[in-house]
Amino acid sequence: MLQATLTNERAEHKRATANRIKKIIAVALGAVIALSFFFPYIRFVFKDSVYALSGLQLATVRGMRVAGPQMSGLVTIPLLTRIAVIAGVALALLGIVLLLLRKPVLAGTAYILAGITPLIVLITTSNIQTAVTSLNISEISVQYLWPFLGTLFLGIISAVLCLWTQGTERLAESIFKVASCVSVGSVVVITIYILVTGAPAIAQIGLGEFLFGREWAASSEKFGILALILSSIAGTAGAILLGVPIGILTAVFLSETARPGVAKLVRPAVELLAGIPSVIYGFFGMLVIVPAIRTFPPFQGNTTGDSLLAAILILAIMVLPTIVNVSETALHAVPISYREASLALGATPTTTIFKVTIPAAKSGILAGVILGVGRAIGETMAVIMVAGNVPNMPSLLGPVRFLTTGIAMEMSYSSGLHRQALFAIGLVLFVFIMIVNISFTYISKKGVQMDAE
Amino acid sequence: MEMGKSKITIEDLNLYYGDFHALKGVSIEIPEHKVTAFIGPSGCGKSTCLKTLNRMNDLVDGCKITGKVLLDGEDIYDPRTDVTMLRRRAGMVFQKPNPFPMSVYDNIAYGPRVHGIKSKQRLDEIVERSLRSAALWDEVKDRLKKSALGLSGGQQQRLCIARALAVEPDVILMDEPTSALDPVSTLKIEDLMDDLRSQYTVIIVTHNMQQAARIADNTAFFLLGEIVEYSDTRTMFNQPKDERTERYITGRFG
Repeated sequence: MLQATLTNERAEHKRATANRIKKIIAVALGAVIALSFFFPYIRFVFKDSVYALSGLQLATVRGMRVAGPQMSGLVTIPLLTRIAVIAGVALALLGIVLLLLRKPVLAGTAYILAGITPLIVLITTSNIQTAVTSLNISEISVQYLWPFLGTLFLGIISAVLCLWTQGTERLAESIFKVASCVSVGSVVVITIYILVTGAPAIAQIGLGEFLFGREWAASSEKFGILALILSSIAGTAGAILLGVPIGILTAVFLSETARPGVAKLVRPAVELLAGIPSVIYGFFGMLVIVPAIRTFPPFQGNTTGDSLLAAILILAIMVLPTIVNVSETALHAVPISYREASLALGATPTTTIFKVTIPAAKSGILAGVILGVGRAIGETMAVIMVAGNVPNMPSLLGPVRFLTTGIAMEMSYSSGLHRQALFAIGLVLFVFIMIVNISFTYISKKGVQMDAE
Repeated sequence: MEMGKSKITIEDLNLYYGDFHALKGVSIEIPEHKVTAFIGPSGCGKSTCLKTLNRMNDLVDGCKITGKVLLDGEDIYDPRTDVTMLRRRAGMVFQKPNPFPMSVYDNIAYGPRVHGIKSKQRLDEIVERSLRSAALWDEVKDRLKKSALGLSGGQQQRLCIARALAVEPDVILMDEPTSALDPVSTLKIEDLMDDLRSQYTVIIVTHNMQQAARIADNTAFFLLGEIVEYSDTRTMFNQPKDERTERYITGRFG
């Protein structure tokens, strides 16, 4: 008994020492972060001028004077960059203070936040590149120096040390929490980024002109994306119109009528469809669907084959696995007792499927359809390869350009307002996807229950 | 034994689930306009026997049947039998209430609609008549368009009975219809069965011997896939002929 108490005390003592060391290291690392504020943080290399700015300078200077070929201008430092740099140091100092006040959990949080600030700097400084492009300077590179990496890594290490003093369980919990924050954080960061990069072009072009302008001609500064929006909608709607009946009936086959052996073969085949890279679909479209449309007797001579129809057909195949999988799950979730009740009333199996099973699974099936819409509207590569990519108003046999393909086609060579307009298309696409996903969440919450009339 | 005219005759029925011999040479005559109860311990074959009467066993993989089941003298296992027609004539109520996730009205109208009745007026009549027969009309007449899933368990089960009545069957098969219900709902369903006997032939599978004693005219005792004893209920419970029956009904079984 005595022996046990002694050992415990010794372990306790050991732990206390270890914790003290961890805290000291964490304080020291915090100090390093704070000091790095005064050392060069980012280096901007313009054509013939180089600026290496420390955190302090990033926070205080008005901007960088840069001479372009025709004009020179002041490249301002984005406000968010300034805030992020100051926040990095402030949070590191806060971490030190909190540690000294014996609040290791709060200190750890402060350190993590400090460690995130370089990432915000990273995102926001990319805006400088856009600003510089508008001065017609093409050569710019941004280099991040050691205080940047230091804040990132030392912040995270200090945070781990702080939380570790609370025991490994607490540390593990925190790591789970951070992992989830990374996922959620990515969404938030991407959303903000798209808003920030897309909004200026919309402001400059005018929302009405941008969304409802019928002409997209980068060379003459005409940025109307109505044709792209309508093509995307038409393509998606067509794919859903074709894909949904086939998908639902496949799901019915798999879940209701197929013998187990057959279902075991068909199900992986459908799942394989989901795994095929979209460029392969594009190939198939180019080599099979497009020529087939071109030479299909009623269409012959009216179309080159690169058309909205080709895009619809390829997208209809691509949405199948999503619709089949989600619908099958929904059908499986319908209680056997519903089917029994229907059959016992003298309904045939087919009547049972269409009058009871499918209606009972309808919200699940609808969720599958919405996910399919998401897939179709976001698809880029396969569409580029079959749709012809001319920004026309959509017509079934004519070439069309989707929102996605509009971005992908021109991003590599665009600059200035043109480039920003592409970001703005991204924003529009993002809004579409958000609507799709929100409706998915809303519908799937309702579960398999069917409403009464 | 209160016999009267025989509605269903089972002759030497054997049923196999794969290798398992679930019913062994079952023969029984079930009289018209009576309540017949099947009792026995779990796994004795009473539910299986009930399901052979509307061929719900067809849905089970690997189920094989020999022997004859006659409904009004016609063999229901004859290859020419229309299963849909059979199930119309032999309605079924299940152990757990299983209303469709639809409105009360649509639940009742489902069967008639499936069988081709489209007229709104006729459907209205059928719905009202069926709900009245199931003693549910007064409770649901103001909420016919609301979801049936919002009803209480007992109401749901009476709805299921009404739904079965709506296709105008001759026979009603009930598979432990009150085992998922509270005593008050159970009593209501038992009263209902009492009323049903005037128009329908009712066969009920039950675990509850008091229930069989209260409502059944005749009772069959199943054990290990065989009918041990079949007689009118009073005789069965007062003077069982077989020792096994006596042990079961006095709770000294096993």
